[in-house]
Amino acid sequence: MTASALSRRALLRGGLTLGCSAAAFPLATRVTFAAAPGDNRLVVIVLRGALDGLAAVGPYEDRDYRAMRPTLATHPDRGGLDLDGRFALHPRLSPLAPLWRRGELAVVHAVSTPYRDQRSHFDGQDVLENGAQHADGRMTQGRDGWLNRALSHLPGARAETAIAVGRGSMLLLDGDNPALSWAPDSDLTLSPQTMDLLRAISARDPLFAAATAEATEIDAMVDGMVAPAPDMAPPVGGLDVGSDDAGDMGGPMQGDRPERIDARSLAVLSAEMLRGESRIAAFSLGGYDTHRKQTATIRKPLEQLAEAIVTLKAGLGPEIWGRTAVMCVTEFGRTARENGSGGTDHGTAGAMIYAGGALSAARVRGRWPGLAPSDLYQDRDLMPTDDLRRHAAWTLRALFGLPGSALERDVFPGLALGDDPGTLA
Amino acid sequence: MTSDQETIATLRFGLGPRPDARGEGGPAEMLRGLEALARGPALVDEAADRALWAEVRDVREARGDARAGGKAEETAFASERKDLRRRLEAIQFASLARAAATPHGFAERMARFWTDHFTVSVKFPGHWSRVAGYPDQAIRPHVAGRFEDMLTAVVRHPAMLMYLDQDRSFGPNSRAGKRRDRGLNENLARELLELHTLGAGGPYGQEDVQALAALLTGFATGKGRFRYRPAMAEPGRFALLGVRYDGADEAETLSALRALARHPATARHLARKLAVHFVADDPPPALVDALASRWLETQGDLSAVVAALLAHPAAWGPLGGKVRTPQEALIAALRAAGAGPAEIGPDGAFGRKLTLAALADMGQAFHRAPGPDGWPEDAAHWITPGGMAARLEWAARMGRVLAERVDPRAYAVAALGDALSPEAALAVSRAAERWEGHALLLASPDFNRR
Repeated sequence: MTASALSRRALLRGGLTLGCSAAAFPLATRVTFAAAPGDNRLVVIVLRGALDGLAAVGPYEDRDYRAMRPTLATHPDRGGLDLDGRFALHPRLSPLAPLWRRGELAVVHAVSTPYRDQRSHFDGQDVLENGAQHADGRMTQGRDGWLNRALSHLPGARAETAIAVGRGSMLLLDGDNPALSWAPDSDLTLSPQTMDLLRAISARDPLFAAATAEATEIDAMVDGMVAPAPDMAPPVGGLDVGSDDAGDMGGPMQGDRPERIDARSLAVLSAEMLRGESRIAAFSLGGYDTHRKQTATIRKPLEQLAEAIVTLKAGLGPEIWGRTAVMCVTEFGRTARENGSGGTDHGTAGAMIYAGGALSAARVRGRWPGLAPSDLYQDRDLMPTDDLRRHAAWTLRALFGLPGSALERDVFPGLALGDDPGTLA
Repeated sequence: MTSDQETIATLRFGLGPRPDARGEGGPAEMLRGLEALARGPALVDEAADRALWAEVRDVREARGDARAGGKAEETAFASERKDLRRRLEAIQFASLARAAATPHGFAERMARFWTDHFTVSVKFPGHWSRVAGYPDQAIRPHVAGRFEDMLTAVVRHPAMLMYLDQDRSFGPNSRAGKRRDRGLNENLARELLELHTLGAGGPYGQEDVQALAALLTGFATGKGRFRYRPAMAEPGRFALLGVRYDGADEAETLSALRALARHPATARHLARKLAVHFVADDPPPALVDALASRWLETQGDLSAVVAALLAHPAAWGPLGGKVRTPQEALIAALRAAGAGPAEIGPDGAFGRKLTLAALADMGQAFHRAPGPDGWPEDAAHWITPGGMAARLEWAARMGRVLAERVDPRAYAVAALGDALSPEAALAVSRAAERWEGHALLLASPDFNRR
């Protein structure tokens, strides 16, 4: 690895200065002023492992809450941030408090995808990203992502319009419509001379020529995102955030899933792309599968979530942030009661967390079903009172003007849009 | 580019040359390789398979203990889990090493083709242990035999039954179905018709899906193995493509599957799929026709169909119509390096970072295909900016290791023979450093097309 690559990686993971010149956006300059799909921005963060909505945003006024969660209730008495006299934000999300005060944070509680009963992460994430109507975890015929299908209905959408940030593929943005994908730590270490040679031998092959050229451009852009800081310490290896449940019962050790990249780097690259030509960015955070000792195991994942949002805001700058909605979704919620090992198990309804200057108000939305045993789903989970896809659909509509027919038929087949939840201004 | 017959055989139909071995040889030799592979030893044999399942149960128990217990139980769970992961990872390395070393590259490609055709992706953590042995147990023994035997082996393998929810499908009027008030799950039935046999748009309707789903009830699992469970099987008679079969009868269901395997739509579907895989994303119609007729004449004798493929002039056109998938590229790179089995593993020269982790980064981790339709075939799926960046990064890392053992100019010739273009050969020789010469080759269209 070259010295510059090392320091750049360190910067992406450590303290870095945001903000850069227009020259850092080759993609943006190349296609300036082509018909872009508006000025609004959407960031979708997939929280893998099933975030405990009842811990992230605790219904502390619900009379059954504390009894069900002797050690895992989020309450103002325990450092939770009182949002509205009914709900409290987990202490580890407190970096988001200033956003709440400015009307840039909202929650939709007691929502879920149509997926029911099997409670498998794999199927649950498939449904979440595919947007299908099926309770049994089946996907739509095309097995593509709803965010990719949404691109079909965005006038002027190009590959640069949407980017999946991180390693490996992301179903949410997979499909027939071209979209970018890039890992913040990916780095073309070949010398410029060697890259010239590669371009020369690829010249006769349009597919390779285009992909190589674009890869080089994005790499240069990512390189240009950070000011050089030669005395930065090299990064510490092993970026895994908490336990990855996917391998919990015997997936191979590494190489099974791409390495996790830290939240800050994902957010930095997303923000930079959104300052350029991109309008939509998506990435994943992990570690939310807190079966044991949740008090400890949920800390880091929540901190990462808060850091991602705060970094996005800083990276986008006030003007673009004002036109941005960040939507955080998870495959399902967790059990209402804590289990015998100080954790929670796979449940049904959970919480969506929204942030951004495009929100209408700081508010906890959703119809609260209550936690009395008879109000629970199957006497164990928070009862879903709304379809998560409905909120995602209204978000697409508010930001990009997608027509209702496209949302109900193509993006989320079988969905009934219903009334506007009003989360976005 | 024009290349001789042996180069085409090795690059298009094989996994690339090894410097210490002969190339593919002629069609007759390639067919013999297929038979040798079918008879070859399994990476996960009967005993290993039982041991794996026992280990999964141990991990589950340890997990239960850890949830209830304290520090000691947690440590025990962590170490049990680590052991199982090591074992599963070792199987992946072994399958990679086998492909890198085999003298029967074409046979290996065919085994991979059929494994992909009957894709099983890992669905839940305990599933890993079933998926690990699946290719060797259900696919490879049948690559030189009849398609229907492969089909029936797949439908009786726990990995597939778990993957497509067949083990959760109850005949609504079966004893177990009535007792537990459970019904049909059509997932496997639908994919069998749409993906595995007749093909999308084939001559079947929803009533055929339902009939097949009913006939498949009872195909279930027990202790991690296939088990026919009469208590779950739907009684009655069911018409599939106009032929009536008795329900709740394993043999009848198998004969229904055999009929599907011999169906003209299946012949057509698989003929095209083979041609697409080996020759071009948009293959010559004459080639597809020839393969389909051979399939029908022989009722799906895979050796005969493959012989027809190798005998057809359209299969021997210029190279370059297809892009190597990340797995193919990795195996070809290892072969050209003459990598030995001991070098491919967590502690070898070609460790995780260069192999299993690189495949994940390039978007093709083992047993992680995006859906039951397997990995995408088309060049445009793989050669994207992000995909190219991942290949470049891998190429650079490989270059560092390869530079220790071989001159890049020699490596380029070893990897591509007379398919190496003069331009690429010149560029490799001009790279400023040896490792960059290797990286350049591995990232070139020459290497990544076949």
